[in-house]
Amino acid sequence: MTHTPEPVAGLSPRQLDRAFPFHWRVDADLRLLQMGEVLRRRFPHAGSGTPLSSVFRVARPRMEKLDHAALGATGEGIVLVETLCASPLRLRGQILPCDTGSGDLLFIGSPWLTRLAELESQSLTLQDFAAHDSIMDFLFVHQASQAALEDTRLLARTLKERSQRLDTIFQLSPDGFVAFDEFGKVDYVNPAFQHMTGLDLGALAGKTEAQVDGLLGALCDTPAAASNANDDTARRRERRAERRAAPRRMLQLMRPRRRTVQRSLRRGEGKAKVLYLRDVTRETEVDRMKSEFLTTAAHELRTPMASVYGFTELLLNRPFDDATRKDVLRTVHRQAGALIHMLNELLDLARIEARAGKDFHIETRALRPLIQETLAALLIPGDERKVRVSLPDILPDVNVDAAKFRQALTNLLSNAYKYSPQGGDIEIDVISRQDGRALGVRVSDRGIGMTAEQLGRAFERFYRADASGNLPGTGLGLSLVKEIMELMGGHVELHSQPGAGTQAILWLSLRGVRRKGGTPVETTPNLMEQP
Amino acid sequence: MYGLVNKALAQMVVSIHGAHAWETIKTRADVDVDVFVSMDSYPDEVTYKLVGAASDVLGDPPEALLEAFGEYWTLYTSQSGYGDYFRVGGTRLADFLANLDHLHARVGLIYPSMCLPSFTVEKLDDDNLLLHYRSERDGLAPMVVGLVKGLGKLFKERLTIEQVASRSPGKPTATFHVHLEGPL
Repeated sequence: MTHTPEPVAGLSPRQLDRAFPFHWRVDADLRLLQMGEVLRRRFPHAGSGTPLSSVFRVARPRMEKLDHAALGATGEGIVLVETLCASPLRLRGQILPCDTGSGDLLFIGSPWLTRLAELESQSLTLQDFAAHDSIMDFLFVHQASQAALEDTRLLARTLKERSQRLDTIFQLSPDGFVAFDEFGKVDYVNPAFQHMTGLDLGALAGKTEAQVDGLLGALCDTPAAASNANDDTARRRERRAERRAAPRRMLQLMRPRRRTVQRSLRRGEGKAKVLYLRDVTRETEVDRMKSEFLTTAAHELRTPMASVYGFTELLLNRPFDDATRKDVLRTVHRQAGALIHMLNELLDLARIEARAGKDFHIETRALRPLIQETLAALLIPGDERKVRVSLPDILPDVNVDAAKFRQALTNLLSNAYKYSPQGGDIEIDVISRQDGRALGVRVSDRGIGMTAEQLGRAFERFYRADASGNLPGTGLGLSLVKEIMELMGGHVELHSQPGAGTQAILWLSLRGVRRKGGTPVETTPNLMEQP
Repeated sequence: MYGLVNKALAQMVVSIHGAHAWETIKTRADVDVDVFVSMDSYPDEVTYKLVGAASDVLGDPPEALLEAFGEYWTLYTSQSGYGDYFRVGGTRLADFLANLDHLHARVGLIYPSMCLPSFTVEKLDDDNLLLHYRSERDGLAPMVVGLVKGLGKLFKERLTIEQVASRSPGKPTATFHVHLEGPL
């Protein structure tokens, strides 16, 4: 028989129940006297007098057999008990002897759970726990730390993906990048930067921005771009202020190759920053050429225009006899004609460049009639010379825009006439490249010829080998020929000696040329060969 | 507002309208955050700006969007590691709502900067209850409607909910009538 338990610490069994819903109390024979309400719900048949050993086992401290003395001796130590049922519930707490002299032992504890999900498997809810019990708070904290861990993993994954994407972009970028870490030291150099400057991570790792600028400066020859690494403090400060004021600046690198690069800097957190180099060599060159072209074009147009203006002013303000008037008008007419010719050539050039060959009608044509048609249409006023043509019996077909090819050949012939004012033969023949893949239409004169320097500038717009101005021309003809030939897949070649004359060759590729029946053209054997 | 709320909003927009829509909303709201950290605290303004921008971009009135978000929030959190919080609160919707303040009290102890709303239940009969909602934040009552609808789905209970009293100056509580219609 068990006795009726005395109140503990003045708490009635009902109050004890609410304060410690997982407690139990046994008598000296280890028979249950009372259990908390959650435990009662779990063991509805375990009433007063039920042996403790049929409901619980002690997991810690290790006990072979439940023994009153051993349980009572656990004192202040932690006791872990486990319910004996299909889904065991572990309770963590301590066993206290009741101060009643009855030998009763009181266990006070609460479920030992490590995950919030275990509550559901134990059919426990928030209501089953006393308000003072912090196990729920522990579980909430644990759950929150798991969520934080999951977020951290997600962030790490996102960062890794972004980092890989950025790495690929930097690797493939034609622009140069140098990244500085949070201490302002280089920790990354991309291949484009290395290619532009010849400076790799080995040379730059650990360097500061000023030191990198110093190394870049050393690649430039101008004093302005030279290293500031050894400047005195005041100058360094000045340069730093300049850099802040103008985050983008141009550097003229002389090594490893001559390049114009634009340097900019983007600052991040702390001392982290990215230095960015963009190769603007081509843009700078194009800008320079554009300005030069505009200046030259304006100058070239002004010369005949000034002449027209001056002569018409004379005609307006002064009386002339008929013969003189006619002579003046002839000059005005000639200068106006030169203007129109120059503007036509400029427009042709602009159109060809803008369309980039899209309006070319490339077709397979027989070369002989093309040459003959060009010669038939050629009219050089006041020059009775005939062009000597020596063409082989068999000529391959070529892929050309017939009208453009005729224009190119006409320009070469016109030059041959102009630059051989003392007479001399002008010849056309056809040559073949040694590998048989290209065919050249060669125009030769025995005129004034060109020096090596003149030859080097012959394709520049408005460049005239004759500086005297006695020979008419716009200086655009050879530029046009060059554009036309390149857009037809060929090129133009010039050979010249001062006083010995000039040879100009229009090279046409024979690759892919087919006869009407579709047979590829064979190299014509009786053509002169060129390497 | 804790990051979890913004994260759920992002997830809802992405699942329905795609990642591009969310990026557009963030840009419009001028919110430059890639990943919201669930238990990190963000200014309430961020959430309000995101909801406003989402309303503009998606063409839904803010109230409809908040109600949809409330419902999504319950389902999202229950499926993304926070389901146990719901199960701790009870096995039936009415129990859960009654326990919600206890749950919030525990969570509030752990996250003192979390400004949690208060819910009290006034039981009318077995099938009807009044839910009194009090919050320091304005304009979120439509979200409560969605939250309770979401909880109904979570606990597999059919219900209707109607706001019967609004907050007003001097009256900080909004009240909802919840009619429980039985299991789903």
